[in-house]
Amino acid sequence: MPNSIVKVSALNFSFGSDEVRRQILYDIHLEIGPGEIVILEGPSGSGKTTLLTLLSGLRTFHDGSIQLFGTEICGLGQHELILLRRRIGYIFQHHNLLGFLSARRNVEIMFELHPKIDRREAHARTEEILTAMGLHNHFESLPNKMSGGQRQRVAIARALVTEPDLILADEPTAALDKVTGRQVVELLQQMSRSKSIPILMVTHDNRILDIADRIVRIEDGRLIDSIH
Amino acid sequence: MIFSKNSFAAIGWSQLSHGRTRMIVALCGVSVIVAMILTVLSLKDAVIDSTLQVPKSLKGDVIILSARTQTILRPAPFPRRFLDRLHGVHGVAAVSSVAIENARWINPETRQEHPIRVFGLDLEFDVIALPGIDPNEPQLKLKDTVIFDASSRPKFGPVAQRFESGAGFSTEINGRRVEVCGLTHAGVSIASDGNLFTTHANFQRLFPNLGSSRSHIGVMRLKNAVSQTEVVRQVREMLGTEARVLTRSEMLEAERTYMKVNDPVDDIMGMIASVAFFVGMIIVYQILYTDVVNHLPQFATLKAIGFTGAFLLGIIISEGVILSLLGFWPGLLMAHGLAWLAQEATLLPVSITLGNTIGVLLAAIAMCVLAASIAVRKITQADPASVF
Repeated sequence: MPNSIVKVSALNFSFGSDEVRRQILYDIHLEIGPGEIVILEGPSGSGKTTLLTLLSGLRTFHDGSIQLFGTEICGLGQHELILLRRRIGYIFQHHNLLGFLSARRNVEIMFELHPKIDRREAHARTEEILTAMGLHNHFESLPNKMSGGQRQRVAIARALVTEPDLILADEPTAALDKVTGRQVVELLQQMSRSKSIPILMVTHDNRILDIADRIVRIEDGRLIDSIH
Repeated sequence: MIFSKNSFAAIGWSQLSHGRTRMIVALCGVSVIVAMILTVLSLKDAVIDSTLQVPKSLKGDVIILSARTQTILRPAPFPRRFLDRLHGVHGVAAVSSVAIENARWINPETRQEHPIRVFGLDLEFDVIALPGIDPNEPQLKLKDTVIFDASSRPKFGPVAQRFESGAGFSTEINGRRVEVCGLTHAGVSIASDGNLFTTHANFQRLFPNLGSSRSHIGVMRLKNAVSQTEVVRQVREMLGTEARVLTRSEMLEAERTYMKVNDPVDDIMGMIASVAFFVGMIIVYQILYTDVVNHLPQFATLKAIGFTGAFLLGIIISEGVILSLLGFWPGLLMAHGLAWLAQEATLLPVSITLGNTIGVLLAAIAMCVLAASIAVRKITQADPASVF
């Protein structure tokens, strides 16, 4: 794939050093192309989350290579990493919204990272994405006045509003019931398709595997690629 | 950027105002501390000002004191003939002597005895600039008359009220019957609770054992168009090591320094103000720290999605600045109330100056920003990798 968004090659990663050293990831190769939805599944402790934090540039590694948008992130400075991270939309297991800000401001805050975007446009895009998430009645609601599904939809709106080049999602349905979880994932898929944003989603929720273009399985730190 | 509605300052405000009770508690803390620091500083100034009131009103260009005198408020005596010799110095227009002693004043209402400070003056010389001390007042030239300082503490009796109502006031001082013939306002200080002003002749009558050859303060006026430094140099040469010769401004400066170095009031007040500052800092720190800890996962999330540490720092520092700016005004109001109460209670001229107000506003901002910057260190522990 020539234009891959994510390109991981020969990545090894371990925690600790010397005797207490524990290797988590072994010889990982992974590529994600434009607009592709990839699900990363595997039992807990298999290294899924560690791989996500490495892709986000939140942990440093020395053995192997990760390229994001064509840039090698190994050995990159803090500032360059932060700039790179701003091109990624994140969805976490817990919504982690700021409890003292309304849904609208929790989403709009993202434009503080993109000061070049005009305020009026930021405002319009925030309302547009919240409406698309079915939250048109909840612009001014505080997170604790919303249901779990609504909160997670605000979190997805936050991840998407600045139209990132990649979405990293970490078990986005873990805190949701079956129906709500399904709805949230379908919304995510729809947004990804319409804006052609690639997604790497970590999950062990079997009910949502069908939305992926490709499923990658990880076991004991090793990838087992399987075409869906 | 800073004024946009999602700037760190706006987010800081949202976070503060979201926990309304906590914010009110913090504001009360800041207000009380501001009031306390401002009142203490004003009291300190009042003490120093009131102490300097009499020295400031001396009408002379050069002041002569005994070499043993450390402060003009407790002057040591020196022979009056020192002053007589100075008439010969070129450029000297006039020299006058002031005598100071403590006398025993009896409050006629309670029959209790209180020490009072008596100033013996040369009336012809017009040595002191205080209201009501008129060198041409014929009353004062009579035997056993004094001018009473109406700003003295009330323990001396209802002197001013009776004098003003025309009833007259007389009492016993050092065993002599003395008549109050006028009122002035000099003000109390930590060195005296009350003051009397009288002529040298009457002073002599009150302290017959001290002899007339003693002086405590020499006040010298110079002719126009002579060099002050030159006269001071000559007088110093003439009096040698037995006298301190100071210009008026040197004397006031020396008095201020003496107060700062020797009088515990300056240190004590300064200490109270610093303790208040630290207590205030701890209160604000506690409240902001709780805010940070309660939102640690959210702060970690903001870091993970690309916000810088400086942005998060900005949120908490703005909370500190907001607390200091909002808490200051009620504190200022309280301080004015407290200053009024203090003035009523102590009769010291307690006033809240613009300088102190600005100083305390800056101190309040510093206090809150310092507290915020300590609280914010917890944010560095918000590990962005932990949110996955």
